[in-house]
Amino acid sequence: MTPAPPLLRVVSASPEESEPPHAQDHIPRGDLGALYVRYAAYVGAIALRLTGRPEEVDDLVQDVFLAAHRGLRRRETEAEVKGWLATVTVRMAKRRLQRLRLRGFFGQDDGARFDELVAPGASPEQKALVARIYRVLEREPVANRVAWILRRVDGHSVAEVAALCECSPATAKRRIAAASVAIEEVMGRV
Amino acid sequence: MSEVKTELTEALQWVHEDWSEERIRRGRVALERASARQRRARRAGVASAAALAMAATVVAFAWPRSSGELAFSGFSPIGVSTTASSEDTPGALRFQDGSVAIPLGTDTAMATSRDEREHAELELLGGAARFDVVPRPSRAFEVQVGSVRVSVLGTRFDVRRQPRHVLVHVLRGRVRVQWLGGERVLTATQSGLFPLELPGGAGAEVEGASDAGTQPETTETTTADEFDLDFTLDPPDEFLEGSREEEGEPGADGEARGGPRRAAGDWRTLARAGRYDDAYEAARGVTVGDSMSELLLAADTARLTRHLPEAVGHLERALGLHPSDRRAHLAAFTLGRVLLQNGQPDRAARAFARAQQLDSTGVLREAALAREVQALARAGNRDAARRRARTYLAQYPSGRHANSVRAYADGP
Repeated sequence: MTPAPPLLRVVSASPEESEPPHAQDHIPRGDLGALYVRYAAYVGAIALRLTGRPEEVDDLVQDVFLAAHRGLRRRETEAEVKGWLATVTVRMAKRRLQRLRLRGFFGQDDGARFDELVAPGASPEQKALVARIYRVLEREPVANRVAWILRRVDGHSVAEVAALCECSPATAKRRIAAASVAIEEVMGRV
Repeated sequence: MSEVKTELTEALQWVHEDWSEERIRRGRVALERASARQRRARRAGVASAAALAMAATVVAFAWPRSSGELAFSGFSPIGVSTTASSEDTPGALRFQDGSVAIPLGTDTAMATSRDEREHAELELLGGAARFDVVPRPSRAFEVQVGSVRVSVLGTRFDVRRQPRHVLVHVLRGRVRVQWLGGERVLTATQSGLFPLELPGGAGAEVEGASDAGTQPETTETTTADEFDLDFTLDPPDEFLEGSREEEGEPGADGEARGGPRRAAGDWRTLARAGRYDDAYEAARGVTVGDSMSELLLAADTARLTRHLPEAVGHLERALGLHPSDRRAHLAAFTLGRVLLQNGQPDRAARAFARAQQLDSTGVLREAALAREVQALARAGNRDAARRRARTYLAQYPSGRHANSVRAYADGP
């Protein structure tokens, strides 16, 4: 019998953010605008890391809130709300990446400029390293790429990656490993 | 190996962006617009499906059949929202029953989310709009502005969406405003400022809601309607609960304080219930406290029972004791109005000027400047009126009082 997927862990929206900011506050489930104000940065951070394309983030975040709104009414706690938003973000990011890949295949996508992906303040070496990693991931299957980012960048456990990607833990592990192999070829073993 | 991993981990931590307030604000407007579009599309889809089903049923029963043949004729969906822009006002939205929503600025963003026989609904996503609603008791007309909902009871009114608040001003009829902290009915000439969010939980952060005069002023000039903007002097109870404790006002622990204070509490209760005549009688012989809330309530009670000099006294005391209070600009504005009503336009002009200085939020500044022009003109100070009118037109070239003010600016 397959065990029930574990509860999702809440991941902070940015490295600076260590505590959920509104843990005790009332969650404005019925008000889409208020939900956006509260969670846009959180969703945006996940969207950016998954897609690697800052220019796609605002649209993707909007799509996530439109799609997640109904489901949010059933979520009670901050952790559940964030977990649901993360799940929808992963789902929508995968779709968008697949669409971009298809467009690229037909020559309709200029490709991402990963040099602009990191925040101001990073060293030139870090900037280059991030760009290299994302270029490698760009060639990987979308499912592998997303699983690897959730595991290595966002720091989720394999079980959490499986829940977010809506697959089994074994599949999640296999996808992470496949992306890791591709990155090792460029970076050495990581 | 681990060094590479550490480098990689550190580098990947830099994959993040700033989400400024402006970015979130723009995103929110875009999201609400998209959400309204989505709802309209969904309703249109449901209506089309219903129409299709109905048409199919009608055809199935009514169409003459020949030897087992089932024929379908062309049909049009029914019941789909047909809101379209008004022909005379650019960007206006016209409803089936003739009600119309007119944008009051170029930043106005609004969308009809329902236009049905029993229920019409519109979302104001940004900016300001005027609503001219055809009275019809059987149909609900509602304007949604974020978390604030304005339900119309047959009226004409303006709604302005601000970053943190919604300003509602009723020109004719009545509206019911519901916000996260409660609800209130506004009648003709009344205005209210309602919060879009309550950051500290329910009932914690109401900036104010108005209860201006319930009757139009009779001493105004023919342009009075243009200037008839009035503001919060009677904050909702939940706000008063908080401020009582802050200010040590009677009523916070009324049980322990005894007789005279209980009497004072009585007039306050009556005043808050809108029974100003009774409140004025109950307040006779009772000393009004020094808190801003109590002084404002006393001023309301006095001015709405036509005891204008007493209202002036309360408002001047409020301004003297609480110049830094966040309602000080409202007190100054109302003082100006009362002085104007009382035939003291020169003092009124000074009060309106002070309201502009005290208004850190900018909510009242335009109205106060327009009123200052009016007061200066009425005081016979034409040069100053012209100067201030020109200032108004420079700052608010398409302001809501621009037409009235222009008459003063164009003088010799």
